[in-house]
Amino acid sequence: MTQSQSLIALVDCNNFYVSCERVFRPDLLNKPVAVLSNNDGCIVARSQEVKDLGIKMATPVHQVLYLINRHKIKLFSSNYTLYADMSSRVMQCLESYTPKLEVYSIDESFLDLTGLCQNDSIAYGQQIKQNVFRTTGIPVCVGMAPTKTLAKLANYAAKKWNKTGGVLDLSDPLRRDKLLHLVPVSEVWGIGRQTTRRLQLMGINTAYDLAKHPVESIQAQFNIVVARTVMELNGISCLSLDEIPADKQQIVCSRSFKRRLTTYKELAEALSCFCSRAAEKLRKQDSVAGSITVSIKTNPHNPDEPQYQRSINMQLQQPSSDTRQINSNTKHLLKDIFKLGYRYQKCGVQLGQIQAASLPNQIDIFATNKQNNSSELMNTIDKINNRFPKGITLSATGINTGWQVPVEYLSQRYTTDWNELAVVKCR
Amino acid sequence: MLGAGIHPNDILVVDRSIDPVVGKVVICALNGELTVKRLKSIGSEIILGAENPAYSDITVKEEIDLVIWGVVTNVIHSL
Repeated sequence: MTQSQSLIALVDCNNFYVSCERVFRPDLLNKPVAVLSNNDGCIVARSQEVKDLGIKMATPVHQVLYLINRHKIKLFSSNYTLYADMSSRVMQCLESYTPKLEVYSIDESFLDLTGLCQNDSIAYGQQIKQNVFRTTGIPVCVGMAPTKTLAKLANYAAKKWNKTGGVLDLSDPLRRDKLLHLVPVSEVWGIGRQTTRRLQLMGINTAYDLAKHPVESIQAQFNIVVARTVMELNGISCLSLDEIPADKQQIVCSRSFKRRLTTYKELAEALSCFCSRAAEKLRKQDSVAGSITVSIKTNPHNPDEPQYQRSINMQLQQPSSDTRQINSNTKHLLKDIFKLGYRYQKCGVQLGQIQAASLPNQIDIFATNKQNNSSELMNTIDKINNRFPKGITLSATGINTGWQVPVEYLSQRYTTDWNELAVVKCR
Repeated sequence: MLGAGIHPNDILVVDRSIDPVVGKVVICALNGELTVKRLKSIGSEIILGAENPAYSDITVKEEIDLVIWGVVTNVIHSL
């Protein structure tokens, strides 16, 4: 291996949400633990013990109650405050190992390690793994390879096979081919369900089959994205590290409710709350949205009830991030699609056509700009809410939050709140 | 842990990155429970000191489920 060959590492936290909970609950090590989605509906993170019971990702809790009871699976509601803080600690630790880092998601990062490992990449990877665990308590696996796609695969293999010790380097083409033979094509980064099905029809079942297929024919039959994946599998880097996170192109706030909502007022209140949250996210990334989509639906899993499902979209005359404007438009949209006599299970707001707030947009000459001081007002509200969470809510946001169901299994915010620190025994 | 100047309801500052060597006050998970102890040694034996005459020291043996969680660097004590 020469120094000039590039080396990308993917560091991925093991069962991240579960690991965060376990850091402060050592009694739960080696016990089955699962973390639930918003509103405690589905299982979104599983400890190895839970995976071994055959419980799949996103399983609704009510479908596996008997397993939860029989195996005493410890459940947690999503504690995003804790997870976000633990994530930033992990990423901070990783930053000390490379000048080039891309935070890819809450629990994984790409690191450019080209020329940093002094020919012993495994030792460097082990050092990263051990240091992250020591400073944060979060176990991680490290996959290394000349390209991002291969680094993803290396990580998948490092997690799957204990023999690797959680660190694997696929720089060696022979090792790489050996692994590619073992991996189903559906596990390759960027290959979705549809593409997998089409590839299988062509007799491409493993990652190896895909890597050895002529790029030209893949590009002709699929698209440039899949063709790039093939090149990446062959060690030719096509995807660069994005050190600056891309702004969200779409912001969605939606929820399923435990209790069904039946009135316009209840739905409007829930949507109001989603609007302020979505608008806040929008302002946080200094963007404005050009379109709003509102959707409502009944419970499709209950065939005995009358079913109704509808979504509606509108273009804003002028892109905006003003909670009031988004809110009032959302209410109009809801009025258009709401029908009495149904028991609604889910509703949501989606903001689209997102662009930078500073971008000079085409001003509609017929638009009357009524909200001049909007950005100052919104800024002030964000600042106050930052210091005093839930300090200010805008008028339309429901004071009566009967639609909200309190989460049942929430852990403490151990790392961010003085009143919720971990307590130790002193005897 | 009164002997180490740690009183009930004090706030402890814990640094996970420091090596837990003999002499340090540490947070450890003892049989799944977070506790605070002083690491001591007698000969080749490692001992978890309670620093309080009311409680006895614990000798670390194989069968004890022990994880050192972090090293205590400061105590915040309210008056």
